[in-house]
Amino acid sequence: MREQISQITQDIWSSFLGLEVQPDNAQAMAPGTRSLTACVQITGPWQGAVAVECPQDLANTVAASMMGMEPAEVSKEDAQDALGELANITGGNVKALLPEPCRLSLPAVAEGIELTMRVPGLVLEAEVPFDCLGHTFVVRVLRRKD
Amino acid sequence: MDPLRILVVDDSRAMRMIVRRCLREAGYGDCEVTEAGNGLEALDRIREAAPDLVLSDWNMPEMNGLELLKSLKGTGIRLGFITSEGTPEMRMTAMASGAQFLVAKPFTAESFQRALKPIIGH
Repeated sequence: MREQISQITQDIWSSFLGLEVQPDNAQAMAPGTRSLTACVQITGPWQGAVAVECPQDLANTVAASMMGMEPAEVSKEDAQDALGELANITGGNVKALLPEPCRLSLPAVAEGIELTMRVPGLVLEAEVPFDCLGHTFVVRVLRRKD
Repeated sequence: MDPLRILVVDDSRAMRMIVRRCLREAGYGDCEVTEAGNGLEALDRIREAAPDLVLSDWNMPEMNGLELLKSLKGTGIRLGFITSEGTPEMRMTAMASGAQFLVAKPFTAESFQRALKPIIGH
């Protein structure tokens, strides 16, 4: 699953955003970083969630790239919208690897400092940190315990 | 000749802007593009001015893309999906329901050209 997440994420960020990303297992998000986490849930024969955690500065860059504006012009709502859509696309591409018929929820977005996310009944299946423009962001796949 | 009218339906403003950009890059910059944030808003826009083509997300709040497609039955308005869920099952459902095409996210301007050319004709 890690390799597939890595490929999907690189494809989405390079082709859609024009941003090069590299898996970077040595990196962790710096303590105290304000970040956004966007999550979509998958239900059906396979149950779980896909989450993208991204520092605020990088989320602003992503939103600016998607919306054709400068990062300084990006509003809080724009950054949430952009990251939610990225989680949606990542989740949709992960869902394509799973047994059908699975369903994808609408994205939920939270923001804060040193956020932790817990979805009852789900455990971490895979976690891949990436580097983009010197920022670390993380893609996680969580799966319902059998 | 009147410009082609395209209605872009997606609950993400960022995605609606990307679709607009890709339409321009694909050579459809002379189209008249309007936007809606879900299926219900799309029906309002359609009542105001019927588009020639609807480009719609699938998974949206209030009214999703499939429900929107079904509500357009008999109007002659064509709809293509732009969705993150391009699985074979969803493609089959889309086509069986009368969709013109399904473009999977992430897409490129070339994806739009391939999907739109058979419909628009250029």
